[in-house]
Amino acid sequence: MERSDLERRALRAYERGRLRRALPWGLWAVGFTVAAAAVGAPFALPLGTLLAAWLVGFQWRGGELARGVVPGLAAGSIAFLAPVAWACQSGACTSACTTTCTAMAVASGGVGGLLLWNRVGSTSAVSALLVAATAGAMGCLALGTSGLVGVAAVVVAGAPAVLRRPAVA
Amino acid sequence: MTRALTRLADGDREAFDPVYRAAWPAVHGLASRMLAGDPEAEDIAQQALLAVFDRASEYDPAIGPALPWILGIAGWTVRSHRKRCARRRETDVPTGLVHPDDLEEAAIRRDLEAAVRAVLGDLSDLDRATLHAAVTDRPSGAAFRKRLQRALERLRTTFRRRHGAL
Repeated sequence: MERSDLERRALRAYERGRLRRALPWGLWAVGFTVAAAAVGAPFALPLGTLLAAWLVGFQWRGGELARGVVPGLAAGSIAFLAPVAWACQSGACTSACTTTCTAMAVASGGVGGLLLWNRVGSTSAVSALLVAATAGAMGCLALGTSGLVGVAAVVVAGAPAVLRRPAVA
Repeated sequence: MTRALTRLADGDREAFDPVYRAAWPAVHGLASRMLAGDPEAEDIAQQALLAVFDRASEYDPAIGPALPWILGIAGWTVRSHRKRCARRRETDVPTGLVHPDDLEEAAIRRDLEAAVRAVLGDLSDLDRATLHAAVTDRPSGAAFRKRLQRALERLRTTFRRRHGAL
């Protein structure tokens, strides 16, 4: 059915309003980027931009995708903060990552993945995994490229949630 | 309506059409009633509808049914328009006639001038010429002063007769 001019303008106003409400979520990405850059993680800016795009995009789109953002951020925060905190405390913020580094990244990624598995339904899990994996990657990369194993752990541990029926109304 | 707006607030674009179909007549009716006779009523109704959709994603069914929420936003838009119009009218009026007291004073002055013209019309030509000369030429001399006194006396008497004591 052909929309009237007023109807088209109303739809644009609706989309604009949604985008305005979604934009502040990008501040989370700014926080992650600043923290990652502070500990010398590589690719902090491109990954931060990608994270901002996920957050704003999912919140703008709404529905199940938006519902995955908060659990994704929670899981991603664990995967991000644990390696960064450990690296800074031990002074091992170098690319010469040890077995302990990798174990830490895998463990924090696993905890994040379990959080997703318990909290979200299938569609939400897609957005949650993308957010968590990107945020986690920013922290894990501070421990070297092998820290990305932690990101893989987020995805693997969270994957069962994608296969489940939506659990969140 | 409430269910459709809740879905739209959640991001379900398929709920847009039902919300639009229900909201537009309500918003249009409200704006028409509040702005009866205003040539901009139609434009303002459209602005109000756009304001409703701009904030549609903020709607939460916990705050109440959808229609009062929609009409609240539309009403606020219409009231803002009326305030803008009132401010514009105030700034468009020439300086000195802005305040209602000034308008009243101007009306009183007009009435008074009309009354004085009517009284002058009752005077003789000589009295009118004397009063006119006193204002414009300001001649001196005892004869002119006496003539002026008599003209002013007749002016006062005629004014009292027509309009009573001031």
